[in-house]
Amino acid sequence: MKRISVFIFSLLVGCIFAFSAQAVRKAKVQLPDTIPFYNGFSIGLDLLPPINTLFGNGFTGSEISLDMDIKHRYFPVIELGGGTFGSEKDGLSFHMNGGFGRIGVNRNIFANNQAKFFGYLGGRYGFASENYDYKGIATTDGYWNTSRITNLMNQTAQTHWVELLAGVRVQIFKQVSLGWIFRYHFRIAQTGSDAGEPYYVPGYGINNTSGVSMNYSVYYSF
Amino acid sequence: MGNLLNKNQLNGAVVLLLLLISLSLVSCAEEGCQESRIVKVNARFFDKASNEPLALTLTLKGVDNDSLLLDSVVKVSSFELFLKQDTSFTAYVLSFPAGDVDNDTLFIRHINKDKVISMNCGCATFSTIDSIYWSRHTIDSLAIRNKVIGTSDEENIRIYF
Repeated sequence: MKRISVFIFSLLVGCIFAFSAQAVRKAKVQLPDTIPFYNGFSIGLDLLPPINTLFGNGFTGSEISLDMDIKHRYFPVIELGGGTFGSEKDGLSFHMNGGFGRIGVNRNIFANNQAKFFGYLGGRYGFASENYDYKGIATTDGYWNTSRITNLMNQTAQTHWVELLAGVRVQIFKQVSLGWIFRYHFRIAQTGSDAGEPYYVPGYGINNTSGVSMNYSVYYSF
Repeated sequence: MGNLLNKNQLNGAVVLLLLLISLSLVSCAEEGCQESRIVKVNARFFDKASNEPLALTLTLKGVDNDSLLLDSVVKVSSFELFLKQDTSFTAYVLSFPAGDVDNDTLFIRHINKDKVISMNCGCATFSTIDSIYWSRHTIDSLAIRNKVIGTSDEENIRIYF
């Protein structure tokens, strides 16, 4: 019984010391917050669509972003883009043109960072609207021995999705920085033609229920 | 980098880097076609009196088609048939070689619609049954259970004897 009492007493003393030490540590790091609420904004341009345009594959178009620096921690952001995409497989071709928008926020995971190296996690809600065509739709019937090729033209679709992302941004000159964003997105709704969903959604990528995409952007800060 | 980040920031950077690598390892490769492109009408035989499934010996042949879809197949209680993709009218002759009964003919009016399943799977012609007529030699009655004709195994028509 005495040993148990000593053990409990030791445990309590240990806890008190631990909490005290933490309180001292907290007291040490609780410096006055000198970071202004608003620290300017940045405009970004995704470099991957123009590269795709040069090589003539993938999504060709443009994507820009606008984000605000709130206390170097929170970065509300709007991303807008548009362009075209084409693909062909076994005689079936898909072509679309459309636009998209995303709205969300990034959270700088390095507190009090001076934006030289900026790493963040974030979330987005995305919306896209597109017009698309399928050409060379081949259907065959083994029993009736018929085969036809038709086209599906001027279809429209609207897609909504949610993204979780991680990114880094590195300052390369005084006001210019480069950054990567890796996005994991999942579709939440899609409306449009019942004759076939679009193969590709602008701002989202291949029209699976979920997927990944990335951006490589240059930013200018004001 | 050492001047740029303190120890805590460096730890955070490592965590972020691991997260980015994990995200980039998520495969974005397209999967092959997992869906069937075979659009078929699923039909079942039923006994009118007992409302129980019925097994018959069946020969099935499309009107204007020289090929048999089923040739004296015994104990058939369900079968599949295919609608014409290029017209909105398909007819089949049902023969029952095991019994001394007359043939019957099904006349199916349907609306066709081409649909892209996916880039990997290609396309198929889906149909909706508008109406069905039949000769009443052996068949008593017929019920449309699901007029949407697709790639599933869901029962579309039920034929009563």
